[in-house]
Amino acid sequence: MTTARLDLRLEAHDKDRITRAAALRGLPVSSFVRDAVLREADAIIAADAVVTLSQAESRRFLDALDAPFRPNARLKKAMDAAARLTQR
Amino acid sequence: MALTFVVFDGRQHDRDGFTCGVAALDDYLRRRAGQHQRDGIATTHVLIDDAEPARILGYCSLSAAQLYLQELRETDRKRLPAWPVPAIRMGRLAVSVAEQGRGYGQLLLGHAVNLALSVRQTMGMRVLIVDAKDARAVAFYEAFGFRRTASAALTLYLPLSGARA
Repeated sequence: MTTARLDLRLEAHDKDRITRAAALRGLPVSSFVRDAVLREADAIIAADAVVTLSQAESRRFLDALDAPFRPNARLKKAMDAAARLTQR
Repeated sequence: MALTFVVFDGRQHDRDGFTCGVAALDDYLRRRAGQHQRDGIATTHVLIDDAEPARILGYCSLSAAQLYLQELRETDRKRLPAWPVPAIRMGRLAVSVAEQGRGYGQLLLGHAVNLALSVRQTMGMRVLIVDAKDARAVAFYEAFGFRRTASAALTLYLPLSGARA
């Protein structure tokens, strides 16, 4: 796995608070900060639920709206197999 | 042995024992899935064998999303009264390393599509969006009829328009 660095400046008293909290959890400051920030980033990404289609795909999507949903053979098989599990 | 799908429950399912080979997906299940479920961000569905119901064979997580289209003309806008297009997003899908190669990934995908179609009967929703972790996962979803949202994107979509044929 490739690693990267993230440097940032913060108020000395904020760093003291972070160090104290990390010590309470029994974690090195770096792990504590990494985990906390990743958790926050993940929640934000999950909440930002917007996806945009490219221009060509937008046209295709509009065309697809006219036709009823028709799964391809492979997806149909997977859906049927999954449905058999839930119906038991 | 009987496989079944249930909603993830941190008290019942052994999330710490789950390894799929991708650290971010293991980490999500261990540390965030339960929290996201409580906060109403995403719901995680797990595949289990009822002979050993604590062991997670695989999981997928679903959340609400919105799909934007580009360069819509006025006539197209009229065809999309619900705008942005309401969507369901499968942000994660993972299968335990010990269970890979048994078709559990496609079972979970089939389950997600079935769930999306059942949601569609309850509220407006027109598309299932999936996030692939790499090119291999993109190819997996494309084989099931998903299309890329943009040429190089790892996000794909499957229109669920109209009644099922």
